[in-house]
Amino acid sequence: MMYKAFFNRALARALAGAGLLALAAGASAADDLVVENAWLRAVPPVSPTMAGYFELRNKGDRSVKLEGAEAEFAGMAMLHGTETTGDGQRRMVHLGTIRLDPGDRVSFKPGGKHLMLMKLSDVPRAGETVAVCLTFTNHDDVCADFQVRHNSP
Amino acid sequence: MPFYRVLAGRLGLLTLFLALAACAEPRQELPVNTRLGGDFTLTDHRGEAFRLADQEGRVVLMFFGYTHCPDICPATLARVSQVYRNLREAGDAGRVQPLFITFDPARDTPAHLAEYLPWFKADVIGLTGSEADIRAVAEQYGVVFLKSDPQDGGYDFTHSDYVYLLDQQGRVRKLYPSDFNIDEVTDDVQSLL
Ligand SMILES: [Cu+2]
Repeated sequence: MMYKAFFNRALARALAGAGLLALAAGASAADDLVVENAWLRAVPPVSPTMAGYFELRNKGDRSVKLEGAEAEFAGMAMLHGTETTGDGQRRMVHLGTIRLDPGDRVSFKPGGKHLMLMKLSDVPRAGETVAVCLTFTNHDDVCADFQVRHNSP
Repeated sequence: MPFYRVLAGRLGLLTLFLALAACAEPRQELPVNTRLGGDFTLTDHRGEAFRLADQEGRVVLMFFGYTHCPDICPATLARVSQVYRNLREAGDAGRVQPLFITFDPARDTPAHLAEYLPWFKADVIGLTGSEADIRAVAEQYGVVFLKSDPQDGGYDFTHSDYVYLLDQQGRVRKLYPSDFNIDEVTDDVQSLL
């Protein structure tokens, strides 16, 4: 699994390098899973964490379970949600797997679900594009180009 | 006091007439929130004592957060910074002060805040202190925060995330949600200058 994930990323990078994967910034597609509007919020270079956002669509004909994410510059990545409690307080919660049935779509967006990237070895800067791979319990990794930006695309 | 009130009333009327004369909608003065707020002393990102009362004569935009929070906190900082830059362009920078108060003094030391905040290019003053001091300030402003149990990725905070507008006397005049409208806040600040 680790090996496969690594291989997928290496392949993705090689393809991206060749310009084959450059569909559009922030977009990526396995044939059945589509990632769109993928971006990371730009933060100061000394920031210990970063948040990532995207939309994921299951265009295939079987259910998948999103489990987490991996990125070269992050020692750790998790699926998080920001919840608002009854008295208006906000908290982050660790999400378990997210199931997407055929035709389903999930949005990770500011103030809601986000990819939480931690233990950063490097903080990519606004304007850069970096690969982040979504991992699944029952599907190959899906790697997408995430644009580092100040605001939602 | 009565004289002051009369004067304030006259000035209010004068402002109203001027506003009407300019064909603008008369602006409601922002009410003073008497339930929240008050003076406090914390430590700024240069490691020096910071007293709110020393900001007298400046309008303050103040909010709480922590730098390990990647989602709401940097977004709020960026929005407050945008308000500040708008005001700076209008020539009002010296009369407005953004304040960021951390919930997380263990990780948000003055040195870390001093590295983190300048990136937002808004002369934000970062404030930290002992946990007890920070909790006391939070209570004054009706902010609740709760540290999560540490787990693999560290710890987080459950917290309310209002932005506070304080007038030149340090009184709370308005609260905004963290995804406030930038133009609205810019206008509100200007109404207090
Ligand atoms: Cu998070």
